[in-house]
Amino acid sequence: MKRRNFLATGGAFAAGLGAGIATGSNPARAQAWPAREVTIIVAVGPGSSADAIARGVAKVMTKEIGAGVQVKNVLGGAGLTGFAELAASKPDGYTIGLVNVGGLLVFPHIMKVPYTWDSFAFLGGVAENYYGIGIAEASPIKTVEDLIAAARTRRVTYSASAIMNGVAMIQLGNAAGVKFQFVPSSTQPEAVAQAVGGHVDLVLQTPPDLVPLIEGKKLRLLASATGNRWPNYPEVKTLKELGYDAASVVPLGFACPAGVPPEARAKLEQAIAKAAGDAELAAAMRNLTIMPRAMTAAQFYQAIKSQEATVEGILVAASMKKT
Amino acid sequence: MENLLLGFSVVVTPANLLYCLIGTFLGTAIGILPGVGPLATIAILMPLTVHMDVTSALIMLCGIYYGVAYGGTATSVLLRIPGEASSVVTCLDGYMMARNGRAGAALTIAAIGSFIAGTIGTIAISYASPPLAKLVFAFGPAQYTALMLAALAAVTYFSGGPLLKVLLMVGFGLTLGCVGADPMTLTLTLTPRLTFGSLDMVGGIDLTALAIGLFGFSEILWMARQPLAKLKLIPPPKTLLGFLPNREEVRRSVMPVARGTVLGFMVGVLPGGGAMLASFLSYAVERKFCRYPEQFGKGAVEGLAGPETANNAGTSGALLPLLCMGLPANAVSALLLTAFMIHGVAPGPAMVERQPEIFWGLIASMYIGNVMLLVLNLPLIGLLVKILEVPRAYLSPLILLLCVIGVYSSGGASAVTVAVAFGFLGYFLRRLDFDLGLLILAYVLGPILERSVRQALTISGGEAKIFVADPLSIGLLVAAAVFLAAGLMPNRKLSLREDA
Repeated sequence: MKRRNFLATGGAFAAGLGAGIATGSNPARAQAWPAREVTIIVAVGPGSSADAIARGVAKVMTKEIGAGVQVKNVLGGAGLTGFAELAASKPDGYTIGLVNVGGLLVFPHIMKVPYTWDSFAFLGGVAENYYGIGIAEASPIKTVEDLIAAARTRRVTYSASAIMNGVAMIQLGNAAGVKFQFVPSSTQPEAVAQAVGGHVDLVLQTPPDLVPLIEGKKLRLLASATGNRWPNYPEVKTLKELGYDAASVVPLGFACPAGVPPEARAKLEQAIAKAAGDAELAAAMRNLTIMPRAMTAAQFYQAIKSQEATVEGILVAASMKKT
Repeated sequence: MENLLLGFSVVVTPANLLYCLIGTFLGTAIGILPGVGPLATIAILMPLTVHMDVTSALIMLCGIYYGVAYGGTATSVLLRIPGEASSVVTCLDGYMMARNGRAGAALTIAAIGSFIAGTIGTIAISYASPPLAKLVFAFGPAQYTALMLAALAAVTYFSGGPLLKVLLMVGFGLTLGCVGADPMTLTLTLTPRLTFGSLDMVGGIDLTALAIGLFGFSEILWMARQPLAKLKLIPPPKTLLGFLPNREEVRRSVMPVARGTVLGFMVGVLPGGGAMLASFLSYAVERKFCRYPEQFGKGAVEGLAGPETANNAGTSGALLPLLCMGLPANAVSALLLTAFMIHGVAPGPAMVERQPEIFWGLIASMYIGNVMLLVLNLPLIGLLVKILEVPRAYLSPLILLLCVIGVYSSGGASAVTVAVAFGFLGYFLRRLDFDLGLLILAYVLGPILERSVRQALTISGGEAKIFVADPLSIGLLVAAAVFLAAGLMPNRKLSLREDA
């Protein structure tokens, strides 16, 4: 990782040098953005699908804005460090970041964080995660109706590796007047194995986590917990199609620190919109079973903001909200 | 057998053999470098493999993964710096063997033990997957709770030294494991604990920083304190024959290697502990079985052969749930899963059925890769042992630099601070004769234990009887109780043996 950062910085340095020469010969362009490379802060490690998307976007943006765009993985603090670094970076349009949904919806309710919603300006979204309800193949529960019936008579539990995965279960419970108990897992495989082994009733995860087990006949996909059906299992309905207003929505998109000059921001928004429509990137996303979804800055903001009340409700119910 | 032949027919092409060699070579190299782990390396190489043939790409990435456990031994034995977390215990007796002039023998035994473990592990994946796969799903939160208690109790019981010192180290390790976001809350609430308001600590104490600090930095301090004249080591033998273990060393390695293979593989299959827990348990078991327990900590062959075999077996074991069920057992194999998915392959029974050439090709490449690793590593020993001839005045700064780079790449600048702090702490704890390995083990197992207890209680709605609801949990809890009771009694058996 370190080595790549060196390489990336080296390349960016060369790009910066070139830009410097260009501005030197033409003073009028000195003020124009971009005069040097743009950095995308990604708070997850290289190799994760979010990181892969950021790199794909960087590639398209490089062509679009005519300056180098590099990805910088800032790890630590469970994703908080990178997000805090984005908020604290100079609002000159040369630092943007992949938006950490947990950083906006979860962390601020729990602990003191060095940013607020107002610290960021949203630039647009490019994708959305799929989520699904997996259940052990042998389970007598065959439909969502069975599931709700079971929840009326006994304690029904579900595992998930992130709180955002389970939003659909909270909404489903509210819609049907029952309660599902969340059992947090530390990793995706742990969440999946607990459902396969029957230690919990259900698991809420993304396709890469569930598909191998579904193909191996250990799990069944009970329903898609997203707005759309899964592309690999088009016969399985979404909770919405089944009549319940429930979906886990985790949009992937970008933001910059608040205060970036309007023209730079407009160009960034434009470049991200271009990336969101890029065919090659869309194909790469489909391989990772991530839903390509272009969102304008306002749509992207709304997609996250609209979930604030639900997530806060979950935290209050779990009596975890800071006082 | 037919399947395996199919696999070999896939692998034995110049290109695939080359990728296998590249993978195993890289694995050995990053294993040798302290702090630079397979996680970062595979993550960096993964995007480069996108345009490669699927099987070739996976052969190479998996080669890196299991090659690491070979290379991790070298710095542990020669410099007392764990190349990888799974080589921490090797710093104890492996290093003492080097101090006694047996560095070559130690590395040879480790390489051969690793080869045996890797090969037997691969055989087990080829032929015994279905029953072993069931084991993974049998473990839920309640069973993990019992397993972690049994492991902690067993290691406490087996470890030598005064009981109070052992308990202090375990307690300290468990406390360090609590630092950072509450483990249930990485997903739910993120309540920071013992972070003293530092955002850097929210993710917990970095394992690499802890291991390299406690062992690596403390060793540099240790060396700095010795007068130069005392630093003269027994020089390693000059002849090729001198690198080979002598007859007695071979005889004393046989059983530890056999036990390490079985134990390591079983532990590796289960998510959580992995290769590191495997090596610790093996060390504990060997200390108990050894006929010369007084030699432990002073260069006992068993204390090297067992754990070094177990960590390799654990590495192979962790591949089983990934390949056979698409369920990674640790962070590195989770990354391998992403690599599979990027290439449009979903590992699991479906892959074995529909894309047998990938599954069996990978298995065949592991047989070949283990032979390559043995051939690569044996001649390297002669070269590596030369490190001991470098004057310490030049060597120490170089080690320090390597350690700092490794720690920085793992956790950033704050991790370097943590490593330095634990370097000083480790130095003083060593002077007071505390067992630092126990501290690291407790640090790793503590969070798993805590999370399992809390998950189990969440599932049961607070009912404690979930912990004794099935025979597996009960059996493990009884084992834990027995070890604890035996450990709390004065350790007469050991002293009797010493008299005899």
